[in-house]
Amino acid sequence: MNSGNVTTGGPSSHLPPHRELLSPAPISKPPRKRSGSLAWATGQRDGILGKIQLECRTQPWTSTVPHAPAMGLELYLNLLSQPSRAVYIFAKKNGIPFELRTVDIIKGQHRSKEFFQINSLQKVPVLKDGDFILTESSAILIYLSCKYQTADHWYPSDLQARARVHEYLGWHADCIRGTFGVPMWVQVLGPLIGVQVPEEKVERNRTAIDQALQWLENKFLGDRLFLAGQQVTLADLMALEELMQPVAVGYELFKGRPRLAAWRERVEAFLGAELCQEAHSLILSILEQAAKKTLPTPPPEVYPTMLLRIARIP
Amino acid sequence: MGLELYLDLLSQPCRAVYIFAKKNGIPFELRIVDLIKGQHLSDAFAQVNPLKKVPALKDGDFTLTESVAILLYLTRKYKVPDYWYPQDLQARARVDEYLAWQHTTLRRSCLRALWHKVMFPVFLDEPVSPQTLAATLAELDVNLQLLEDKFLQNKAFLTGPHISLADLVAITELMHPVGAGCQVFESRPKLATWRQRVEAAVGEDLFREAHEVILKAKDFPPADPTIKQKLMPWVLAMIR
Repeated sequence: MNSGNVTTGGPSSHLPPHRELLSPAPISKPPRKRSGSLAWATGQRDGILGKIQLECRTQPWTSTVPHAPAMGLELYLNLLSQPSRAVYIFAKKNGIPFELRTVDIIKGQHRSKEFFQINSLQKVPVLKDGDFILTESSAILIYLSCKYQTADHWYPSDLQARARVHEYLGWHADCIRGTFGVPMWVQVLGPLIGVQVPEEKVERNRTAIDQALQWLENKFLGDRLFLAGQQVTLADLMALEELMQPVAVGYELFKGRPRLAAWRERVEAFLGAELCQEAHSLILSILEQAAKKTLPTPPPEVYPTMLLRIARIP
Repeated sequence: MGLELYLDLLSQPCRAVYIFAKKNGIPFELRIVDLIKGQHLSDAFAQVNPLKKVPALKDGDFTLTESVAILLYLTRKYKVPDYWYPQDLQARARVDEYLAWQHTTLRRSCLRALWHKVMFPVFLDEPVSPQTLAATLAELDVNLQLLEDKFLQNKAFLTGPHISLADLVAITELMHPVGAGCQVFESRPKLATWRQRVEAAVGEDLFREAHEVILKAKDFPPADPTIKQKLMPWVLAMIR
């Protein structure tokens, strides 16, 4: 079974043949230390994040920022990442105080030695609660809901209702996660390093998305108000944020799906327009940023993982 | 009707559910859904689970799919010993973390290892290119390393000093490439001793019983053409 080819193309003639990039290559120079700059979007003072009124303190996460001894809850996130957004929204919606640590994934901050100390898996989101470090968005959401005793509907204590949340999360890991991120890789992230994903794979992904949406609408939503019952749960948050990813690059997921569209409206109404705008602004501006060429250039050291991710597209 | 569990011990998540229920003395009716005969694709089974997957649980009118959801449901309903899914917030978060991580990583590698190494060439008579097999086994290697380095480290079990759902899910996954003839534990002494501890905690007889089917996967007779035709779309979708 052919796991697929990655076609290198575009203007990046400095790229070595992809075969070389896929094998672990020695890094010719150490990663540049960031000098306290925030994630790229905040570099534009009047840009998107400049307009966001964050209630929590935002600290750029770099090795040069000294850590205060007794730090409260820290969330290492990037709002370009679907699971990061789910965690962010949940914390904000529930008034959970936290220090936001933005990890610039396009610039490769997640691959730095410093971030490795936070999460050896080199991914976001990550939660740090004193000495306790936790990865995996669903684990983080469950932890937060229990520790901060959020309203029961998020993660119901009722045996069967809670089972429905986990049932959704299990299916989500198989059929939504990975699949719904592909369009972003095809249209924005791949081109950023001069990689074009073959049309055949794009079509296959479209079909997979379509099928997943059918199941989402028919099995999970059905004639209920939300995915795991009649109230908003962690399931709806995880789902919404995954769906926003292809929406951000122009996929009309809700067209011809009135029940799913109505669900989305209900979830967003529940979360509040302001919070949704805050959490979604960055991802929803991604095409514009790509067109204006204001996205940062990924450093060469992140190419191998990016290429690996693209190669895994079925 | 009491609790019904729709299982096929060929499937990793089914093994975890089976072992958990038996170990904890949870009474259930075992409903075998024979995957290599395509029983999961039948209309009858679609009534139980329209997603056509095992494991599935039926508790009176309540039907539940997804192995982690089933394991957690059984944990809570039957009040099993705390160590399986601790009440302690941070200890439990560790189990949640592993259960979330494994789904798209180790689980996927173990499944592909079995199908690329054995099931495609032997059972389905479909050749797999050496490059594909090599890539699959390389990915398995990476995930086994992560299992050791990030999760097990120097602990007795994946999330602490006691066995938990994480260990049960992990071990049943790893038996997939073992069944395919991969040397999962031979070059990994840390994982090998962890495996011994898990088997001892579960009970060696129960462990053996649950793994009889997968350990014979290499010897499955080739599928007849009708079955093969029926199974191919499902297999291709599953392997992705």
